[in-house]
Order: sequence, then C-alpha cells, then structure tokens
Amino acid sequence: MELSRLVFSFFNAEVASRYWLDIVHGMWVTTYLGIAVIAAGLAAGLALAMLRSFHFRPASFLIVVFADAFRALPPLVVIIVLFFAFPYVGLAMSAFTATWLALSMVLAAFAEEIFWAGILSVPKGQTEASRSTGMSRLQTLAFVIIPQAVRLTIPPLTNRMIAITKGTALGSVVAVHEIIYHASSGASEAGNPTPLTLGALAYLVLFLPVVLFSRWIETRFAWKR
Amino acid sequence: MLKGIDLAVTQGELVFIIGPSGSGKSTLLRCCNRLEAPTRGSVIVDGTDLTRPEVDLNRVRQKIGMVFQSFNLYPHLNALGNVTLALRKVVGKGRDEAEALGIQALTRVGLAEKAKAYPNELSGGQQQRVAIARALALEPRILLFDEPTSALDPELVGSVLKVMRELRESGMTMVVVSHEMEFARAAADRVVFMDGGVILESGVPEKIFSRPEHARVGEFVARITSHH
Amino acid sequence: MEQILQVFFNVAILERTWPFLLRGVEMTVALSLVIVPVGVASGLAIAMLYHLHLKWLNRVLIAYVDFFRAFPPLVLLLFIYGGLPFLGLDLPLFGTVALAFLLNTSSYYGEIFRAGLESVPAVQAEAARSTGLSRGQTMLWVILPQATRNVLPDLVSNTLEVIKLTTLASVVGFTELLNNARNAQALTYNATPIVAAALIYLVLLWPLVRLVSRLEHKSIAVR
Repeated sequence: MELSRLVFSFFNAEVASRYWLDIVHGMWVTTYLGIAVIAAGLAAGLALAMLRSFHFRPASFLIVVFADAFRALPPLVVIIVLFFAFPYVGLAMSAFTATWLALSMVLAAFAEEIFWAGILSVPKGQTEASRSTGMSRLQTLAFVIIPQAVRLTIPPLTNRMIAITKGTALGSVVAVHEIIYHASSGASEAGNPTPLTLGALAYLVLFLPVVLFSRWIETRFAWKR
Repeated sequence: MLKGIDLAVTQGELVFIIGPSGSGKSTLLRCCNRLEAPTRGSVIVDGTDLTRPEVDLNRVRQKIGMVFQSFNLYPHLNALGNVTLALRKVVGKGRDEAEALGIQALTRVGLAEKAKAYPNELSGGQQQRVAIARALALEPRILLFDEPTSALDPELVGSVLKVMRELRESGMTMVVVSHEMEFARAAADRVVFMDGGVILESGVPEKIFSRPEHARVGEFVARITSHH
Repeated sequence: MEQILQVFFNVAILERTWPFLLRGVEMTVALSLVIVPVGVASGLAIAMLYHLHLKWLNRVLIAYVDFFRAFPPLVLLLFIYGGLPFLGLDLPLFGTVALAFLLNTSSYYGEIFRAGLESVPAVQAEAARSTGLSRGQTMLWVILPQATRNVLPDLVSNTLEVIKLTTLASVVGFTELLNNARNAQALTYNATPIVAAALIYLVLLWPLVRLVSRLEHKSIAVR
C-alpha cells in the first residue's frame, strides 16, 4: 500500500475542498445540539435529584423508574422510537427535536443519579445544623447541601457530558445535519473517504480539548478530596 | 428511646444533663428543637408547643439555638458566611446588616479577627466557637449544647467552656449535655442524671455530685471524674 | 387508546416479527460476548503497561486513550467501515464492527484499570515482595484483585455501555436487534417492532443498571 494511494484516498485535497464547508456547518450543528442537550439534561437531572431529596414516596419512585429506564435504554433506540414510532400516534417531531429530547432524557437520568449520590454524601449534620437555625428544607438544599454536593459530582458529570455530546453523532441516523451526516454523505457521493477524514478531524478539534480539560478537572478535584 | 420525661427549664437557668451513653440524653436535647419528635407528649418552648402540626417550625427554630458535637460548620462558607447565612435567608436581613450582626456575634466568642477564615483553617475549639456564634446571631431565647467539647482536644476545651460561662453570666437559658463535670460544678444551676430513657435524679450540683440519692448516679460520677 | 395498542403493541405483528427480533438479540449477544472480554483484556494490558512507569510509553498510551475517548464511536465505525476498503482490507462486517468498538472500549477499560491500579497503595506490593512473591505473582494475587475490587462499579457500568454500543452497528447494516427491528418496522408499516425492541433492551439491561447502582452505593458507604 503506497503512501501516495493512501493520501489520494484519505487526504485528497480536491475532494476536501468540495466538502469542507459542509463539515464546518455540521460542526455548528453539533455544537449547538450538544449545548442544548447539556443545558436541558443537567437542569432536569438536578431538579429531579432535589425533588427526590424531599422524600415524597410516589415522586421518588417515579424518579427512580425514569433514571433506571433511561440508563438502560441505548440512546439510539430512544431516538428511533421518538422519531419513527411517535408519528404513528400523531406526535411527529423533527429529527433535531427527537435527538435533542432523547439525549437530554438520557443525560438527565445519569445526572440525577450523580447529583443524588452527591447529595447523599453530604453529612447529615449539615442538614441538622442548617435546619436548627430555622432554614427551610428548600433553603437548606440550595445554600448548604447542593454547593457541597457539587464538588463530588464534577468528575463523573464531566465524563457523562462528554459521552452524551459524542452521542450527537447519533442524530445523523435520522438525518440531523451534523458532522458525520455531511461526512458520510459526502464520502458516498465522492466515492472517496476524504470527507470522513475531515469529519474525524472536526470531531477531534471539538472534543480533544474537552477531554483534556476533563482530565485536568479530575486531577484538581481528586486532590481536593 | 425515651420512656417518660418530665422536665421544665426556667429562664436564665443552666441545666446540665449527664448519664451513660445510650441513656437518651442527646435524644432528649434534640426533641427540644424537633430534630427528633416524641411519639407522645409535648415539647413547649417559650409558650409554643413544638409537637403541634400547625406550628411554623422554621420560625420557632430561630429562637432555639443548637450547638453540635461535631460543629457542623458549612465548609464551603467562611466564618462570617456561616454565621450570617440564616440571618440573610431566614430573617431576611440585608447583607450589610447581617454582616454587622455577624461580626458582633463573632466578637462575643472572641473570634472577630477570624471572620474571613474557612472552617478547615480553624482549630477545633475555634470552629466550635464559630458554631456558637452562628447560633447566637439569631438572638435565641435558649441555647442547646449537644456534647460541645467531646470532639475537642483537651487543650482546646477551655476556650469553649469560657464562652459558655460568659453566656451563662449574661443570663442565657442553656441546656447542656456533656461530661465536663468541673464546669457543671461551677456553673450549672441544676444537674439532671438520665439512665435508660428516664430521669433518675435531678438537683443542684452539690447534691448530685456529693450526696446523690441513687447509687447509679454516684458510680457514674466517680467513673467520669476519675477519667479527668 | 385503541389506536395506541394497534400501533405500538400490535400482537399480530409482534408474532410475525418475533423470530426476526430474536435473531437480532442473538447477534447483539454474540457481538457483546466478543467485545467485552477482549476489551477488558486489552484495557487491562494497557493499564499494566502504564504501570511500568516508562515515560515515553506512557505518553503514547495516554495519547491513544485520549484519542479514542474523544472520538464518537459512531464516527469511528463509519470511518473504518468506509475507509478500510480503500486500504485494500476486506473484513467481514462482524470484524469491522468489532474492530471499531474494540478501539473505543479498550481505551475506556484502560482508563478504568489504570485508576484501579493506582488506587492500590504501593506498600501492598512492597509487603508482598518482601514475603518472597515474584513481581508476576504480586500483580496477580495481590494488586489486581484489590484494583479490580476498587473499580468494580466503573467496570460494570462500562460493560453496560458497551452492550448499549452494539446498537450503533445497525447503522452499517449489522443484523443486531435494533437493525432487525427497524427493518421489521419498515416492512410492516407498524411501530410495534421497535417498541418491542426497546422493551427487550429494557428487560435485558435493567438488571445491570440495578447492579451498577448497588455497587456504587456500596463503594460510597465504604468511604
């Protein structure tokens, strides 16, 4: 396998020039989708964990069922069900919405468990001290428990967020115009895998910094403990 | 746990509760601010019955201060933050007013200069004094102490007892669960001995320590004082 | 309500497509049974190489791990699937899929085992060696058991992730469960097959989720 053949296939400048703009557009969609998923997933996860801390049995049961179900289901299955099954009962949604909703619910499930573990790790004495100064349950949660719980949640949370944002690639299966969608169709069209190389590079550009950042965060918080 | 308690504390009194572990002394103390709830009976503080469901527990708790064995300071806030959190969120004071009151409370326990220090920068005795300031800042009618010095190194115990003595002299009503017998002898108005969930005996310090009615009390006092 | 049953839980269609779905489950299991053991083994190998503490080697290993952690598995799969023919390599579909997934999971298992090995205090090895155990024996009987126990929740959690990963193979036409379910749905114009597939995944994987939760809570309690 000579080098020139390799370059012609995977690093073809001519093919690249035709498709690089699509890839850039895809990067924008991937980023936008990723941020939307993280915002919704984290907010929902935190809200569910806080709700669970009020120890209202019916609510806690439903939350656990939700968290278990969406940690067990493969994200791609959720996307497929939302996009292909729901229209049959009149609930049609765009590919983007289906992907965003599916990934957000999965992230919310994992985030809830992580936040819950964090809340449980705060010593009971903190709640007692706070309540005995007259703070309500919600105030105690907001000003005493959550700030301490968050520290424990940072490493597993960053890992999970990275995994989920990589899941945005799954949107390509239902034709969301993110990176790999353009890369894949470009490669098919051109009969040359260079667009795939561009797509791979695009993901590296987006995610390598995030992975390195999370490595740094992990070491920082591991030491503090 | 508690098998029938009938205890009344008058204003300005310092009541000391002693007894072997498992006797229910902590449980009794924690009933006083409803951290634990009695299955029967009532807990009346300053005219309000805490066991009634319609009572606004958060409001009542502002008037009852509690100091814990393990301090339970908020590690993510500095000393001033610890003291002013409830002032700002529960009483609703503005930031400046709360900080002024906070500094006052810290001054009372002798730690005004440590206002910006975080709990992990303070010694055990200092942390406990900040915890006392946190309770004082809300101007409580009564202070509850749950083994306040048991988790402290011996050299640091004195600083906390000094603050407690000053509080006593200023007329604060206090209920203290502790093993500090010397302190009880010097400062308590009444000593209560508990065992097996009931109050075995109650009286002035001289009586309990020197001429108790029950043998159990005498044994216990002898055992504890020989350790110190 | 009537309509929901007809569209999502259609018994007639379920009966017809059930063998199809079952074959999909078989393939999912087969794929998992290959990837998990090989992934664990290679992850362990990576961690042990790292444990040798050779500076240049560790830099290579960390680069490998970070590279494949940053890469979305679907992209890796499509890249290998689309690109391998151009390298003159003609792997069967199972092989292509397995290769892509292995590159991904070995790096995750590698990270987990690395953290596990580091969590065992160095004095354990010293103590073992001073009783005459060789380096290999120390690793096998003293270090590894403790390391594995310390990261057991993460190991099981990652294994769960790997099994969920198999659904990606449907994108390149590998006949695992999701792929067969989607085909069945297209053929019958009815959503029951994919709903059934979702339920099958739930039934198969929920016990693992519970196991992970229990292991995690146990390790928190120990702390």
